[in-house]
Amino acid sequence: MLTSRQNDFNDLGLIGHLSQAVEDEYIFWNLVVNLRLSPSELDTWTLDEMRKATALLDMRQDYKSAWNAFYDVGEKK
Amino acid sequence: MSVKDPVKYTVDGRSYTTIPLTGRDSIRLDKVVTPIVFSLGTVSKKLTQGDIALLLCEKLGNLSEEKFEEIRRLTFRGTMFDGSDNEKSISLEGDECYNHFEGRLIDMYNVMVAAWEAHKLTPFRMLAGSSTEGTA
Repeated sequence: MLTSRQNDFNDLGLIGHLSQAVEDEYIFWNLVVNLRLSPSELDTWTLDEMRKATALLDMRQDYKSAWNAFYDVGEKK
Repeated sequence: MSVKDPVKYTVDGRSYTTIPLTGRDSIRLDKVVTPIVFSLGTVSKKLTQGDIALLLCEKLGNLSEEKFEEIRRLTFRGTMFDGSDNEKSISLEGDECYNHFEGRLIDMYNVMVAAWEAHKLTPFRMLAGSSTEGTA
């Protein structure tokens, strides 16, 4: 029997799951959200430009994660 | 050179110009073309642009007409045949494309491969520096 907490969790659906339409254009919408650009503005960017911007965002995210991981470890000591 | 600068190339002595695709069109084309090109074994066999075009004839021939048209139209969006004194310039995105390549379909596949290189699709970025670079 499911607890109410499990029911609530199930009601949320697939967490972190993108619909196919969004997943197909993930690189595009990821840049729209993170760079606060309008879709029509980003529609003028070439694939190469979108790849470079995505690589930059990934690098920033990696750096942030590493920074947080380092200081989390530091606090536990 | 800016990445949006038109890329000029010649296939069988004829000049073509491709303006690299942008936005969602480029993502859509990359998504459909990448598995097709990789399925030809382009990376492991170090195929030339001409080899890829030959293998594409068979591969794309097995696709539904609808799918092939989608790939052709996206590929040739922004691609022009640069006419001369006795031949007019045409956009290859429309149906005129088939008249232009009539009797020499292999040239169409060669131009498609050259356009994919100009659009910097994933397989061609990975192959950059190998024998597929340059003109057909």
